[in-house]
Amino acid sequence: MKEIIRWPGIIVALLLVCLAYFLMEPLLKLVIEQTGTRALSTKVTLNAVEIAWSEQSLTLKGLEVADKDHPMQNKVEIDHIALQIDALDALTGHLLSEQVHILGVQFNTPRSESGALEEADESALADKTREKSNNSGDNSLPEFDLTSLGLPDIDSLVSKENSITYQRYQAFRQYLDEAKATYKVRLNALKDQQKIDDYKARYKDIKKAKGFMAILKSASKVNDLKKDIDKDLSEAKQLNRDFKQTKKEVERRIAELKKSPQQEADKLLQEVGVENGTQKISQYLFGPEMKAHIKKLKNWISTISAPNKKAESIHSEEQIPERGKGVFIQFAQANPLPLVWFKSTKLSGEFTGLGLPFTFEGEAHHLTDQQTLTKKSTTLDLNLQNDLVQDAEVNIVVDVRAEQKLSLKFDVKQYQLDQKPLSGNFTLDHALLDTQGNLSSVDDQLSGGINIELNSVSLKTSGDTFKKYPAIEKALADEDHVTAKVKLEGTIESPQFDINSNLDSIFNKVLKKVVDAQLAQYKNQVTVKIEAMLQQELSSSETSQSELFGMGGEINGAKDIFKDLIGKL
Amino acid sequence: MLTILANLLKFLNSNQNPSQLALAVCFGLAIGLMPGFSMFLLILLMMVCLIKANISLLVLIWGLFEAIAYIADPALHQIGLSLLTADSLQVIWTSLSQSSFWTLTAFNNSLVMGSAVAIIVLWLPVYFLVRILIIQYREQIQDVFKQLKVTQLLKGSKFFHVYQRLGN
Repeated sequence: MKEIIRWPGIIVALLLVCLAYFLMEPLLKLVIEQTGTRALSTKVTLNAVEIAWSEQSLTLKGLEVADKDHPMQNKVEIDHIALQIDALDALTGHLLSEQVHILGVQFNTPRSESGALEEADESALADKTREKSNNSGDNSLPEFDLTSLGLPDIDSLVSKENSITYQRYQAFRQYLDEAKATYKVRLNALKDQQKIDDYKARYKDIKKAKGFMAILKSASKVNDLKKDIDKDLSEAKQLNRDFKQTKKEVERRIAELKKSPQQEADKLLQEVGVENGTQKISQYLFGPEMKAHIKKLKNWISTISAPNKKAESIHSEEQIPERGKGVFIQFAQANPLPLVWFKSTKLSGEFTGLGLPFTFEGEAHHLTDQQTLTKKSTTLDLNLQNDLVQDAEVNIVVDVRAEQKLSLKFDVKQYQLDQKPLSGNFTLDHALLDTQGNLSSVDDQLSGGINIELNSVSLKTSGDTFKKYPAIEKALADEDHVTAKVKLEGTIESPQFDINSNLDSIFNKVLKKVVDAQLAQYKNQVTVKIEAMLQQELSSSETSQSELFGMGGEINGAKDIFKDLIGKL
Repeated sequence: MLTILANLLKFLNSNQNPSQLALAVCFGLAIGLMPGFSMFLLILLMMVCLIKANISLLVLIWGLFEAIAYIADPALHQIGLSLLTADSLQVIWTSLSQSSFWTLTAFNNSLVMGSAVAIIVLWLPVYFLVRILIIQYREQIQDVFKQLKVTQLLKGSKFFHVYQRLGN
């Protein structure tokens, strides 16, 4: 035994164990940094690693995960991670723990040195460019305006070419001219001097007749003359009747023309098609805000899922046999373990880096990279805190075992909102928010609903849009209680919101009043314009009209000529 | 190169136990063949510390078998792969893979398995062969060598100075 055992070697072995003991921490730090960097494709750094061998616990301090798109910024920074681990499992690369404390979680914090990876620079730049181009379209939110309520210029709306009143006037004028011409022809034909002279001559001739035979002969002439005069007399009577009818028709048409501007104004406003009761102002106020939040969620989901793809590619690369590396054969395991499984985790940190002014405390259960192995969904129960909120709870459940399921529930009570810019021209100057939501996403398909209740609301508007409509601005400013029910569907890529709010009815009520008043005024202006145009035309036709009406005396007199002749006969 | 050769001769001509020298060769072979990522390597290094084996010779042989391992890599991989994928052995491998300790040894790697098999197969034959060769060398060849004219000539050469220096 003495010949085989090298007793001083035991000391050397012990020294090696001691060395390993002291080197384990920096070695583990190095391993975590390198593995993390490779797995997440971004720089992962640690301030310190502490191992408590007696308690089998590991403490990681100052963990920083760089943002690959913004190298001078950390995606996540964690002050303190303490976990109890099984050393053997940890040595085989399985980080399993019953109880973990992850404290001081912060997002998007600044870095003291760049977190850029040389190999990742090119792809990151390409991703950044792609993201920028994607964002450029989404950020351009339309300004809120009421151009749909704008009415066209009266001069362009009312023109002779398109005016029904003018067309009616033209028809009237044509009728007047034609009637005048017809009556002139008929009157001239009736009052033909040659014909009358002929009647007179024939009368004189009859009167001259002397002797029985001549008198007998003239009796037949008298009869013929009477017939001719009677014919003209009845024509004169007919002319008189027709003229009276025409006069009536002219008067009717003038009366109709006088009503025409009013009718035309109504018709024109109908054609302009002003909608004054369907403005979805709540959709405009809250929609873009919600879309922005969903987009943020989507970005985070893609950030989380990207490293997995990389890890998969690394795994598949390992299957290719390389010299000096061999091939790992995987055998079926009775209880296969995930790489990471934190069964119960206490969490604390802050969301300010994500644009949410909250610190948080809470618990996560079954944080893992492989839910198919843990056979449990990951849950996250957080209590959000800040000076402005009474109570805010968020519950997130992630289940990716069969399909990508994400469920988010939140309940926020008495959250004081101040100077919160909303879309476009609106600012929520002050409000007290109560909101509950239940959203879920299954394979990118979104569904859910959100209830919003705002009390002590002070909503302000800016820009030129409302200067034209001060009543609307006032109505919105006066409303101090706003409720909204939001129904969410569609996909994470393009979410669809259906927002129903009391703000819509308030807004539309005032809007209707304003628009109705505006329409009445506008209608009046249109009517006046048409009437003026008609009046001008009617004045020009007045001569023609009085000429026609002036023919009445002549037409009436024509009858008397023939009556005299008949009387003489 | 001369230093290495001189080292080798020095071990052979020293009074060290042939078993220690044979063990050093066996350990050098094992460490040289075993891939670096297996925990077997750590166990072997610990054993080297505890068992009386000539460290210098071990390092020399280690280097030699590192080179041999590189050349024999495809063959070792094939041996390991055929063993790991053999149907009759699946029960054993599966039961071993349930244990964290065996997982740490990376026994399921084709190269580790091939190397381990090569080490197990070669260990005893190499040990006894080297031991016999050293004994035979010391008993029969060492004196004959010393009397050879070539050896006399070599004694005046640079090589001998290196050898002498190692002795001092």
